[in-house]
Amino acid sequence: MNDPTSIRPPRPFRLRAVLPDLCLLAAMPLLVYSVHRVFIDTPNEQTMGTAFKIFFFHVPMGWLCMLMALVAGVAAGVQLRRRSRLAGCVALAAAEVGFVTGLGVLLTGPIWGRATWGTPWTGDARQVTTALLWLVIVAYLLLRHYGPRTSDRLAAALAIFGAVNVPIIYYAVKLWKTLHPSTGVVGSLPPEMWATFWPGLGALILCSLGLFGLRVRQLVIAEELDAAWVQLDERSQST
Amino acid sequence: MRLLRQAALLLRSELRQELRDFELVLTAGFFTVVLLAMFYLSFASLQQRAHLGAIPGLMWLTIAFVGVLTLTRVFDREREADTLRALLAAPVDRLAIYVAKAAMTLAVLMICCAVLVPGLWLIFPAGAAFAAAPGSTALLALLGCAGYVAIGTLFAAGLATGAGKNTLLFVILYPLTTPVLMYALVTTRALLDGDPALPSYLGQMAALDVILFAAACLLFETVLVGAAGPRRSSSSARRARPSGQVPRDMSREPAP
Amino acid sequence: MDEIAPKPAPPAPEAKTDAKAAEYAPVVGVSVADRQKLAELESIASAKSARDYEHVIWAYGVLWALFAAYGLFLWRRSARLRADMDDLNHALSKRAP
Repeated sequence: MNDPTSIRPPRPFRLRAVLPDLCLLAAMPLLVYSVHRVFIDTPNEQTMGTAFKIFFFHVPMGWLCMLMALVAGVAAGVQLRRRSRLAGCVALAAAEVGFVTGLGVLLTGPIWGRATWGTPWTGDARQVTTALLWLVIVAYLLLRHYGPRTSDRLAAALAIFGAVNVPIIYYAVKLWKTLHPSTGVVGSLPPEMWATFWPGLGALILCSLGLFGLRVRQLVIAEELDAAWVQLDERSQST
Repeated sequence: MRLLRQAALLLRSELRQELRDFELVLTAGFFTVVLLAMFYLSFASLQQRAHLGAIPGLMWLTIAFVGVLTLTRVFDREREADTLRALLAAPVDRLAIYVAKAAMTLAVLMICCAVLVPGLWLIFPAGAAFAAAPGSTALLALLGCAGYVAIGTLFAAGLATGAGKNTLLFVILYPLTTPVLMYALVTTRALLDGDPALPSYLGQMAALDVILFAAACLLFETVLVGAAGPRRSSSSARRARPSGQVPRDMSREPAP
Repeated sequence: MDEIAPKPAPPAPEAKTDAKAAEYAPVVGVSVADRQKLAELESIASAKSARDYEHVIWAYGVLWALFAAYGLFLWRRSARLRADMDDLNHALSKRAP
């Protein structure tokens, strides 16, 4: 514990440091409760039957994808404005969680569509908007991981453009829908089912925030390790 | 005024370079003709009523592909001669560089549209609507290409480094330009159908172009300076490690 | 010989029904065709329900698999960072006098 060769002294306890772990711990019982509510306490929906139960996790994933895209855009703005590495880490972590939640929406949506209307892709405006937004998130991740060494600001510009594009994509898709009408109407949640919806939303938010916080922590540590190695190398060369 | 004057000077230099060998215009124009030939081979046997649905998609897909080719080539010149840093060191407004490059790319794309639109009309008889409304067609081509160029120039400039990862331009550009292309698709279909809402669609496209240009202008200097900034030694962190590996998830923001 | 008195006639069924009419509703029979139709509809409904459950299990399975995959990715990254930190500590200890 008091090893003089360790790179940093032991830190005092900070709630911020354990917040991601607390989020994940809190998500577990809430997840179990929400699954119980969805399958035991909630009756089947009249027109769509049992398959409607996918809705209770499909919609929160969609909201989380949009939220993470916005967080990535804002963090990228801070990264450009203040040259902040922490903001860069936050943007990358948000994009990764947005990728996971977006993929969840794009996979569960066709499963639900197939069960309800017999066709996986209905061309619904929200479905197409989410797909296009997810492509922008993937482009950002590819640029961050495979871009040239000086592409950090470019990636930040991409994230900002992506966030600005969210309402533009939505209106563009609505306009495009005049050429391609849906094959099925995606209904809204009946009022009596909202009580079942909130625990699922809460569980997924806590889970996503926990994973997001862990990833930010990892990225910050990786940054600090890189700087430490370079400093060590420079000192070795100077002596 | 200074900005416009500088942009005009830079554009004149670009045009002079282009007029020497017509490289951009010839390659982009030929690529357009090749695509038209492929469309003819693939879709000429479609029924007449399917043409109305096919023409907008074919037109704007061609613009998307030719656009990336042109943008890559416009900035390749800077990359090959490493003149980007010299340009930034000169007392030139950064935005003038953006305006000049965007204007050059737009000019090339408009020349390609001059080949593409008559070509589509020849292949698909439903394209006669283009000839019936030449003014609207020209305006539609200008607004659609302008929106594409606004986004494309920003990101092509960001990738215009010595490392030259051109393939990423495709990856970045297509998702971001999808809304512009969707607007262009719907407006083209409205033109072909003789839809009375065509002026409204053209107005919306113009508004979208203004938004995209404004956003690109705000971000251009930051992106360009970042792209042409001092390259950190790529192997310093890797060399320092005994394993020679660098964890991939690190962002390498140059030290202020 | 005595005449055998005729047994009193049982009460007429109509009279009995009339008497009890107020208490019981008349029974309506279900035809064979109706019964077959009902069975067919029930089998369609149970098949849809079974198919729906299969889709629900797939959807939930996909979601949990995605989160588990990302969790595994984070875990592996942590292991790599820990190894890197150990290497750095080792390099520092070698350098320290």
